Amino acid sequence: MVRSGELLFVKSVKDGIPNRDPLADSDARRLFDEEDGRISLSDVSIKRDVRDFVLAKYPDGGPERRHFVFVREERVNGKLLNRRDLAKAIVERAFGSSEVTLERIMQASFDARVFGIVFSVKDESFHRTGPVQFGWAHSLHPVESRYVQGTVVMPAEEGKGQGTIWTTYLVPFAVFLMPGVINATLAKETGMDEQDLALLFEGLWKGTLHRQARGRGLQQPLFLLHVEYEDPFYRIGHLEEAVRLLPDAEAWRSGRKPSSLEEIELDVTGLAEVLEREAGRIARVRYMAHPALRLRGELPGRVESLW
Amino acid sequence: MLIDGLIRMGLPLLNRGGSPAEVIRQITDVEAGAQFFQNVILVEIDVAQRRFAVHPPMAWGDWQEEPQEGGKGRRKKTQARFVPDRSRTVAAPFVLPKGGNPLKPQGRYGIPVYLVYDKQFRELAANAEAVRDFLERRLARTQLWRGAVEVAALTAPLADAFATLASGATEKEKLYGLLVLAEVGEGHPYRYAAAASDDGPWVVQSRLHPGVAVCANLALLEQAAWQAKLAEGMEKGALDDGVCVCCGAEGPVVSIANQAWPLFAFEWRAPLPSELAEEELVRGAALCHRCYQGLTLGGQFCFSTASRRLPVWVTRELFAPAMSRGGDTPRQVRQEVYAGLIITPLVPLDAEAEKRFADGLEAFRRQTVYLERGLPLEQVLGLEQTVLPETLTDARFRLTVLYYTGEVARKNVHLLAVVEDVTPSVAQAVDELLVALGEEVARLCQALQLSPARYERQLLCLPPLLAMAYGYGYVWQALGRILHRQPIALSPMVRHAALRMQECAARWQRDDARWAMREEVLRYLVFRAFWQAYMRKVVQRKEEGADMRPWPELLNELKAGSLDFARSVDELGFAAGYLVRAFSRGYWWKTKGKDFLTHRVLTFGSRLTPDAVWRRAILPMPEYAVRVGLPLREELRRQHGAWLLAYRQMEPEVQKARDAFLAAFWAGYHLADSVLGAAEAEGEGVAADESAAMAEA
Repeated sequence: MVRSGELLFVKSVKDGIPNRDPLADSDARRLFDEEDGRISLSDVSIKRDVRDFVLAKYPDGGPERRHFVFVREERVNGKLLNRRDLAKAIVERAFGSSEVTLERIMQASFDARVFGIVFSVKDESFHRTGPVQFGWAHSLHPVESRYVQGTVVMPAEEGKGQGTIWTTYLVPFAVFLMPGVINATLAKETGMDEQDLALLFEGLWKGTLHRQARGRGLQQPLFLLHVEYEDPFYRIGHLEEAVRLLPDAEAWRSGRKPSSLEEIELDVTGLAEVLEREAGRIARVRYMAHPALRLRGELPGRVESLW
Repeated sequence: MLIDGLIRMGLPLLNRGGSPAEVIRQITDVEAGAQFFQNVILVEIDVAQRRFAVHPPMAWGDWQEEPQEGGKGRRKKTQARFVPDRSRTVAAPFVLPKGGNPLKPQGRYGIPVYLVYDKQFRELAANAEAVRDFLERRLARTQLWRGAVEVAALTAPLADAFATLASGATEKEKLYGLLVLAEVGEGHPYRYAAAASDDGPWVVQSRLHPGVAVCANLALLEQAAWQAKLAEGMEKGALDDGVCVCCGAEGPVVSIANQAWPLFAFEWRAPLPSELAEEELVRGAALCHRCYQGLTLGGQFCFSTASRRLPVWVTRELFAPAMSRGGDTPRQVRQEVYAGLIITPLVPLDAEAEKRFADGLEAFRRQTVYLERGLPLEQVLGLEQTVLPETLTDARFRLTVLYYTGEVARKNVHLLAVVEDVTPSVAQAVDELLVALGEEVARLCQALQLSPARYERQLLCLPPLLAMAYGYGYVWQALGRILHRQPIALSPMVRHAALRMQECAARWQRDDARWAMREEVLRYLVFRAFWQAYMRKVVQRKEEGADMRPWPELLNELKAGSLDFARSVDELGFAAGYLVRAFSRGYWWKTKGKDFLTHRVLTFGSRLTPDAVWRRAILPMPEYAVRVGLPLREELRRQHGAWLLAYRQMEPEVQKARDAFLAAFWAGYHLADSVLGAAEAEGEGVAADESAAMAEA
């Protein structure tokens, strides 16, 4: 049985932007004002990391045929499958029949059980709210993206005498923190279980490593914390506010910005205090951290080993 | 709520009425789809006599040569553009398909006026069966069609007409056209008349009744267009006894998800309630018929009448990187950005005020030349040659400004920004600041030996000015703050200016980099001036961090030998720039043309930092002066000593505000020439020679 809980996920990136804003010339997404300077990654992009990892790990749905991914890009003869065809393909592979029902999709699709589903095609509409909701991942410090240019030896068109110039925005180094919540009641409704939860965490960690592209930069998962509550209707909430990154914002605005893991420290002192204070309501705390990440403060709970 | 704003703007227009021709232009696409009037095939049908005649293909307009925008160094070309006859086009109203396959019948047709695309011309040519299919499927969706003649009778002559057009066109030429089945007679969309009138413009000379004209019945055409609109609105459901979510009226309603909403694409499934069938969406949220009509007019006003494409130069500036000069290469504009306006009354208006408001909207619509009275929107919002009429600048109205990309015609609109609740008086105040800023640009350009014409546009138009200061990622946020009289920050601009200046400094040996540096000084000081004026006059708050007196004052004091430059890091940096420039003029002369910065400070690619300014430029000045035999003026000596002392005292502050120091340094350096002028001490008389040499380069 999945308990209600919260999670925090910290990851870093070097020389890239993991989630760009297509309406801002593919620069970083900036939800905060210019004085704040933080950049953001959408929850959707991080869910994509998880989904792509699960797809790669269980292309055939896994041994029990229950880890298919509903929201995916699949083509037949070059044409993208739509919702209905994607659903059909899953139930055919999982049950050997093409009759699409909500129950069947929920049984067969990992992401439908975990993140929820909206299924709306002609004559057939249903939805389930997912028990796991991620927030946006905001950088823990102001970020200045850099505008860089280079040359390509290949010309853009036939007959051109020289290569082309490429331009892009990149971020030399940044650290992001994403909060998330898990709802026990919704987990019951969708059928999400402990196995799914374990795969979700594995997907967060390994999916960050797995989904790579030059423009996304070199990403590294750093810290993952999971807090579970006794009461399915309780939540401390906004745990991310109790986490700080050192050095503080001023250093990131200076001429000597941190540019590596060695130069930063994750201050979890405030988080530890919150968890200690709420210990009576907490069923379990567990976390894992990259060996190179320096943590300031002593967290309660169990340190889990990396996969 | 966006939709509510559109309705509140549209209803007064609906109540105001207007001529049928005006309404037809507003609610149909006769303006946007001008190219379809290139080839009009009109079937004249005498309803009373049940006879018809197919007219030879016509063009309802003329081709005109227009100059094309040429790139830099290219010869201006001209291109032919089809300009429709506006008085005639309202006689054949149609709506452009919004998404989906345009070759298939879509939505509802008021009267039988059907678009014909290139592919269809070739398919329908000499193919009566295809023509029959084309007609029957469209007539089934047409509101006003009496069927005075059998479709079967029309197919063969129409197939011939299509064949005539298709055979006359080259393979490369794209054909666009209209098929009009004009039912003529009393009580029908067209009538026979001896002469045209305002409500019945001339369409064509009758072939069935020589000497008589076929004229449009615009009142009926308007009615048919509204009927078609309403029928479209009902496609996602209609109820006879619903409640309007906008005005609360009970009675017949249509779904709020309808074609009148410019942002709503039928293919876009995401925001629609998944539990309701498509034709049942009316049960989610509904609009009464009046609000639906208001939405139609409001949407049309915002995304057509009051919508402007931002000029290419603005878009280019918007997307230019703020932290870099972008390799100084002109960037390709990857997307077109549009701005649209919603103007809404703040409180319900009485009948007279509502009429004045609607008249104001109409004045906005009619503006073809620059209105003299009102609020110009070019500098503050980027809407070229657009003025908000004075009637609408009243405190009782509010503006919503939308910036978007995509194609309204295809309902493929991506909102970049929505700035709501803008008080016209605030926009007016900002506009006045920008106008006044023109003088500052002129002064600075004169001092920096730059041509104002080259920079005015960019620096006196708010969106590009903000893009330069903050970077595109913050343009809309900053614009929103300004239009709401909120404080804006100076430090990001200083940071970006310093980064760009650093790029120029890295290439200091090159003349183009030095001119680029002057540009950066101009940008830096102009934004500073804007920021100070905005904070003082609009926000009415004493700006914190405005740590620099106006540059003319600073320059004059420094010129007079003042030692008062330790008030702030910025002023210390400015004074450093001034001193270095003052010294380098003599150095240039004594060393027969060596640039002091290149020769002694920015050596071997070293970067300019506050420490380098102190250690490598100012500290050893007396030593260098002795080496090259340059006598230093007394006040320069005193200023040199005072500056060194001030720097030592302020060093911790300087280290925290390096960008501010360096940006001000370059400003002081480049502006110094404007006051140092001709020689006072020996060796300085050649400064002008150096400037001249630079100018020649």
